[in-house]
Amino acid sequence: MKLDHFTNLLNLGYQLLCREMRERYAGTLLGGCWLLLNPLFMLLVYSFIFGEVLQLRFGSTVTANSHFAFYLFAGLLVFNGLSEVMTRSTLVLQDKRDMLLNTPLSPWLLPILPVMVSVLLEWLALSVLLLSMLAWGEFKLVSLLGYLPYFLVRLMLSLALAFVIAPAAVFFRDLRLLMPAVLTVLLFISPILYPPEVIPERFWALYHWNLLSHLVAGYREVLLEGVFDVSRLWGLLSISSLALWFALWAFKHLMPRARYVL
Amino acid sequence: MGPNKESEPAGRAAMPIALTLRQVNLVYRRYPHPRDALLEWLLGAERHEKFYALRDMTFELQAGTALGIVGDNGAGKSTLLRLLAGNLLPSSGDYAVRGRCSALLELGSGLDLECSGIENARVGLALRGLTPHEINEVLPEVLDFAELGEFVARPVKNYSSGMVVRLVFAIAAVLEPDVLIVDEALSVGDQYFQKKSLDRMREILAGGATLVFCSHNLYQLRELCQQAVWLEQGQIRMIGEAQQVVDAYQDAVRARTHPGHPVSTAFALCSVAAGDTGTPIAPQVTTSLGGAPILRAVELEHAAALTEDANQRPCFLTGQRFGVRVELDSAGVAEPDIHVGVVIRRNDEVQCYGISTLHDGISVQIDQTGVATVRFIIDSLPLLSGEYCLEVWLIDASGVHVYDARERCCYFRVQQASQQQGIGLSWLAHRWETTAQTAGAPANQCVQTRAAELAVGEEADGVVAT
Repeated sequence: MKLDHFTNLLNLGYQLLCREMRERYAGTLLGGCWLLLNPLFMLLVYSFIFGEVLQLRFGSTVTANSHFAFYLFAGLLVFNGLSEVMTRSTLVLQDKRDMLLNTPLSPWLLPILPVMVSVLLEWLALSVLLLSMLAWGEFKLVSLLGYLPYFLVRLMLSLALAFVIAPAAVFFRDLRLLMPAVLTVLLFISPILYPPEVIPERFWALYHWNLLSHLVAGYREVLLEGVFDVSRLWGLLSISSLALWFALWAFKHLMPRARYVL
Repeated sequence: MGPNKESEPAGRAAMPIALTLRQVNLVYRRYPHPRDALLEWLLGAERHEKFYALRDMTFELQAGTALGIVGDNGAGKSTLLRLLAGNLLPSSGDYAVRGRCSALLELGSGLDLECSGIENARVGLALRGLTPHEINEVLPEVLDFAELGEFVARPVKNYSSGMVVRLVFAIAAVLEPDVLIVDEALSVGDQYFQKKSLDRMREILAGGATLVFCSHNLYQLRELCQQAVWLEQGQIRMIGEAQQVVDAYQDAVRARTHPGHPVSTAFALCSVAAGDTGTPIAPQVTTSLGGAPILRAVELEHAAALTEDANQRPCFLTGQRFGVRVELDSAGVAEPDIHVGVVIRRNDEVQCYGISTLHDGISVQIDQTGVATVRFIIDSLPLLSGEYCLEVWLIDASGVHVYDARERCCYFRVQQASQQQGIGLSWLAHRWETTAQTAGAPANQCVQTRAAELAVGEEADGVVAT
């Protein structure tokens, strides 16, 4: 790919991202504020229900309400990003069908669009988390450095999911309706609202095979504790790279067929 | 050129080739259900039917040429345009488009209804490969061309279809592409913008760019394009000079619309879409928007002493003086840019004759109030018995843009004096030669020649308003 072609693709991606964000909040009273309000609202609800009402404390892992809020927020950071990608990918090809057929838009750009949106949302939420930690005196600079490789894993996994789900949803329209249920299951089988220590031993296999569990754990380690587990990161990087390679290969073969049924 | 190419205009030999298609086939796969497309890939067993959207498409187009595409719905026109625009890839064969290509295909495609005109213009320009810097440079020009006023900052969902076409045409045409591809989209624009966009297309062509233009408005297509392709069921039925191809296409449409009726390949000033519906159409007035010239009156001038037929229609005699008076308001448009066209149509939809001041090289004289009166006169009406009506067109100097039109107005009847004037549609100037072979004498010594003349009926001044 020539450099100017790549630059044009980047510019087009940026323009589409801007349009996507404007479209999402067009006509709303609070506009772009929803970008921050949504994660904050979820954080408050979970903190209140699990922290205040149910008084959940997970041994030594989480001891105070502020900690619990950060703990939840870090977990939701990953989950919300993936959730955004998985939900929007089911519609991205159908929604942009006209563009795909009547403009020179590259189909490779479309699955990247929900990933870009999710990255933007994650970075906004992350800035809220880091500012809150700074206010509580718990911010660690090393957290930011440790975050980047895990973010790379999240990015590769998101791209892998988007490149598989987008054409798959063209063949199976039910996927769009199925996705909320899948995400609900994913939320509860992954240690996002609770620490992995509370998982009964007989379900450990489920935990170990769940990539999201490891990614959430990685995010929490670097952001909240400033700890960096190289073996965990290495494993995640390997698996997400393989997943992305497979997804790109599948998209290359599926997309021409998806065009026929779009 | 492809195998069906009939002729090549002189003087174009040195021009580079802008478009090349060689044995291009485009096959769509039709799956009973979307999931079958995936299962076919996974299991390897074929689960689709093939549909040839384009078959064995071969032609070349020289740079600076305008190519018109005609054909019925489903003939493959839009598919061909998408292929040329690079939005579809051929299943087999080679094709090449040289230079920057800009396409205006389906109306509103690529627009986000929730976003403003400016935001959509930015994306549209980025889709055409412009960098952010170039977009910032070109954007004011696009918005100026579109002339959307304050609407440019409003969501596109609030636009009328005419405003949408203004925006998408401005995005596609302002870039000065090497190849401009325009599908049937301009028809929804208002008169003013239609003229503006047609002028822009001619300007792009004059600059050496190539135009591929698909339209059901065959008059526009014939005036704008030198070459044309007639597509039928995904294949090239005919390719060559626009006049010949469009005439042949019109013949085929007429033959289908009026089976058994004789069809005319005569000069036609109006489109098949408008004229060959096959159903009686009431007199129709197309009123242009403010700012464009309009027809104020169209009247038949004939002998006042003549009777009217049972339907109160004026009746002319074959050979009589026939006149049409057209009064128009120039609306400030300069004289050289206004022309009047008249078409005489018989009630079986045969276009008997059409001509315009543009084609005859006549200037329309406009008075100080901006009004012009134009008379179309046939001193000796050659039409034979039948019912006829007029179409009157107000066109610009390019002959492409129609300011205003009155279709199927001024119904009248023609009555021939006797069978001696002949049978059919029209009396034609002719002469007879007879040769008597006398034994022993050369044949040319016994030739009798006599030219026939059309008898001219009595004439009196008068005007019949319609």
